[in-house]
Amino acid sequence: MSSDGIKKNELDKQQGKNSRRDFMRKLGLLGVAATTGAATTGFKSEESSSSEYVKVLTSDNKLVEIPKSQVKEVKLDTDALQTRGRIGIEGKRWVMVIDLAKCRNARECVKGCQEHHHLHPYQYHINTLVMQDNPQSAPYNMPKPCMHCDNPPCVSVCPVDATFKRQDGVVLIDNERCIGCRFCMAACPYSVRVFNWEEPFQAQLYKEEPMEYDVEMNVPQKKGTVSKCLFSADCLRDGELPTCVRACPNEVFYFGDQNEDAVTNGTTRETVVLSDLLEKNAGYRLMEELGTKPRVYYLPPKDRVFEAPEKPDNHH
Amino acid sequence: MSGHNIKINKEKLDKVAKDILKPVGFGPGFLTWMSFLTMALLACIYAYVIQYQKGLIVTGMRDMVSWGMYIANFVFFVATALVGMLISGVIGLLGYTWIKPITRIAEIIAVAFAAVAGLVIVSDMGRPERLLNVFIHGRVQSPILWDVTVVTTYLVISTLLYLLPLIPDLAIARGRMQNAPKWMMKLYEILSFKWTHHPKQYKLLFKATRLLIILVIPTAFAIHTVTSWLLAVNSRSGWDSTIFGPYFLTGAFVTGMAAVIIAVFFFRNNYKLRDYLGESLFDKMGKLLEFVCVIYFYFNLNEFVVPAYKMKEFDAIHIHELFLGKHAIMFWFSQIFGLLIPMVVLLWKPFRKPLPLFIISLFVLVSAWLKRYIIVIPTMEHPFLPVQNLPHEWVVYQPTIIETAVTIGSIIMGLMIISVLAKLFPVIPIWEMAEEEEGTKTKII
Amino acid sequence: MNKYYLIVVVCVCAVLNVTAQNTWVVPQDQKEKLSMVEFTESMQKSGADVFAGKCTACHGTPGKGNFNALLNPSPDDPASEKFQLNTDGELFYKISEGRVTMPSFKSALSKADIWNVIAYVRSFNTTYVQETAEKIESNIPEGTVLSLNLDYEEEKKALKLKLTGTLNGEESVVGGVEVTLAVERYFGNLKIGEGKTTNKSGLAYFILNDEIPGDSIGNVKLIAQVVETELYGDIKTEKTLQIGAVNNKPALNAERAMWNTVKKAPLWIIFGYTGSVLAVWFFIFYVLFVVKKIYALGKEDIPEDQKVI
Repeated sequence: MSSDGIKKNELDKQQGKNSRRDFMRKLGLLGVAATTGAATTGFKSEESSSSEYVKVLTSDNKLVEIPKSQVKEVKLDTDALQTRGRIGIEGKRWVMVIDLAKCRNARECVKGCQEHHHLHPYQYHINTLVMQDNPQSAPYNMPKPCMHCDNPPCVSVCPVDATFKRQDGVVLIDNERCIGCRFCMAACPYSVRVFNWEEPFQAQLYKEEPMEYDVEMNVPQKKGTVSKCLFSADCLRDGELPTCVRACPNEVFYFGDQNEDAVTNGTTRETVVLSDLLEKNAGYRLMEELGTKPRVYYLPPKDRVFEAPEKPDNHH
Repeated sequence: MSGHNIKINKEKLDKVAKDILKPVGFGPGFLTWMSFLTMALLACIYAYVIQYQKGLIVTGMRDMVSWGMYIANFVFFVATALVGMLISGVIGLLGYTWIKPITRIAEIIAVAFAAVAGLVIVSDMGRPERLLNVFIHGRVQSPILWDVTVVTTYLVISTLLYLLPLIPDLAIARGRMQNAPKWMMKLYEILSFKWTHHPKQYKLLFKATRLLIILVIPTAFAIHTVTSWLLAVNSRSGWDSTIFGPYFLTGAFVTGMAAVIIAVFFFRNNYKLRDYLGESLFDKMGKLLEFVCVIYFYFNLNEFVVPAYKMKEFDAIHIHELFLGKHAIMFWFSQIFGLLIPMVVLLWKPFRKPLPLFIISLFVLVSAWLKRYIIVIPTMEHPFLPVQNLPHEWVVYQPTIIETAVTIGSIIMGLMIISVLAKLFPVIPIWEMAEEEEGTKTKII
Repeated sequence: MNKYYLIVVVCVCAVLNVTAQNTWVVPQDQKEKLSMVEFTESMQKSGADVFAGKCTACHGTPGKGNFNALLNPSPDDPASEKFQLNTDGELFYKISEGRVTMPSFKSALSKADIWNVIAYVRSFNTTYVQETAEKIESNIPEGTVLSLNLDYEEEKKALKLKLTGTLNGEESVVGGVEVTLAVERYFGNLKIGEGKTTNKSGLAYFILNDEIPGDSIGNVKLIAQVVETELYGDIKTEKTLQIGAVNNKPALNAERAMWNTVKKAPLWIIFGYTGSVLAVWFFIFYVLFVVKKIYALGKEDIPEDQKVI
């Protein structure tokens, strides 16, 4: 969009920086093999005497320099994806803010999510509920993802480390390890976990095109294992907002890094200061009294943009 | 006592051994009974195969009620298994000798129910083939790991408590069962561990048994407390209770006593052991059942009256569902017929006679099963957040035929283990019954 | 301000029961805004993609009338006559700013994207004839190469932006140009304060009232840019400065806890569990040892007087 009279600004060191970071990210996504640094990923690579070095990001998020000739792009296998998925992203503390005043129950978040994670229409990683706090107050819509609690009761009870909390706060489920005891479902006070009671929705697809299991997406889904909201951990790794956040047409979701004290709205892409947003709007968390310390905040349904929904008839 | 010198009366032993060994052996009646059970079990196993192939979708469980009849049944089995500890452990250690004829029956029930409890929990798993993950990747923080540990330990201790006092009996039986098949004699020979009635052997046996009896008490407390914690560590209303451990434990005593009384009544009549399982024994068992019922009633009072008094939001929903809602019939049936009425009528001696006590115990046992159902399901039906956007059948739990069949299968398996053990070995400790009178005064343990 | 506006609109809707549809006033200068380039088929195509992702949920597919009629104000079908009565400038403004139920897309979409959407929407209007903007003349001589410089002034606790222009090897400062400053965050840039206009010396200061959270050594990446890109071009500079708050927060799974992995289990539970298991099994094995002794005793003779039976 440069105007005619003025030449385009030449200075763009950052462009270079940007692309390098993107390159690293892509490598991180695809995986990189190095003789030393990436031992955890378990890939082989050939010895070489080349002196040209490149920086690569290992699966445990370390930046290492290795000879260029030893770099081999590989598609990550299940093990490597699991290793990477269990480590998480260093220095991050993901947080979600849901503005209840803006939700009109469009359920675009639900659709996007079910598509992303190959869910049956009755399986919800995120569900929008009609809530009514007391008989006098008007009902409101409430999207309900996993709270990714800092004191997650579901993770406490897991007998096999199948579900776990990462350093960046995301609670994931490894369906290659899950034994299907469903203790976590009983433990979750928010009822956010779902079970694969039957063959997964995309079972046919898995049969036709076998794919590596990505623990950050929980795809392919597996019969007899638990599934849950993952904050779209695969998207986060790519610097992309979670699917539900992006899918919302009504500015309901904010998502960001608490360490940066910033959250970005999925609809308007406006980035705001997290602490300001919560302070000014009296942000709260669900069932604080249970001590679960959720990473999802709600802004009260005050000054609602949309009409209140009808009273829920199936409350409990 | 390890220092106790045992003396066995030869003539008495002959009579006792003759009476007790008579029903031992796989007769035609037994084989018919077992083939019937096997057929029924095969049908139930077929139901499980369907479940294994199609997934848990064939059960009535769904995302809201994600634990159903299997877990209730598991709790029931664990509860019933606890009676081994109550009889041999608590009552035995207190020095009561009237339990001698029923210790082995109690241990049979303990072994059978503990073994099947392990299988019941596997039938509830979505991925049973990954059971080994519990040992490979076990998390010490998870009550499931504790449960697996204590169920296994309890099964081992109960098996030892069953087998050790059996050693002298098998040695006695070896010389007296001429008609028994060869494999059976071989088995007796192996399991009698070269028993020669050496006084030192008796001393060692007393020592080992005593150790096991002490050991079984904390293990049994652990097994049922941990089982109650499977529910109580969750914050859901109806489970979120600090007295769940003792509440379950005392409930287990009631269930176990009922199971033992039923079994003793059966052996008394079918094995013609009236001389050993006499009316006075039933009177004592009746009193013990009364005692555990009173304690259980006390915990029930605490468990239901306290939340019903406060009526906190979600507790109120739960209490309402139990007292007046759709689970009311089951709830009041189990409370009235399984607890209140037995507790009252057992105060009168005529009700502690064998037949009335047997009938009461049947009610108690059935109620105990229903009670476990009441403990597990209603709580799951009422989570904290509203249940919406789900098909109706996904919200309300209704056990399916396959689920019921698998559950019945577990009961059949329990019956089969009891039946085999009761026909393979004597059900009453011969040597203890033939012991000289003076010996009985100093407790064997 | 925005919030206040919202409240006013909501109140007007609710109390006077007047649909706000007719009251969306677009400032005159914005109304007359025009695209610099002529709409092409490729613009329409990419506009259709953006529309499908961002607009369909409320506006439906243009021409089908399947917009969400329950919303108030009604989103309307973009192909409808009433909708097409908007000038290009009005559409641009409304998409950028939004109101009530219509989100603001000025951060989510680039200006080019917004024009693409307008191009797509106009493709449903057969009578539409596009006018393009005339070339805008800036007050800076043609051929000047602008560059933006970013520095931190410790004593002022402020970030200093300097806009300079080079023409024929001669450098001069450029004043009167609006610039913004933002800090890079993981999912987007966070603006620091409002936009500022460079002064006579080509300078604009952004005072830092609060510390900006930085990375593990306090680095923050700052992005400064000229607002009116249509006039001056995409003038932008990015610089990483060590002026942020150091982020030394531990990993969320660092501590020993009930919910953590088995390696990070609380010590009391590890010792409690293994201790009890070992203790009980020690005695179980002891019992087995006793049984072995019983077996061994079977070979011994029993003195006559000690016979049990």
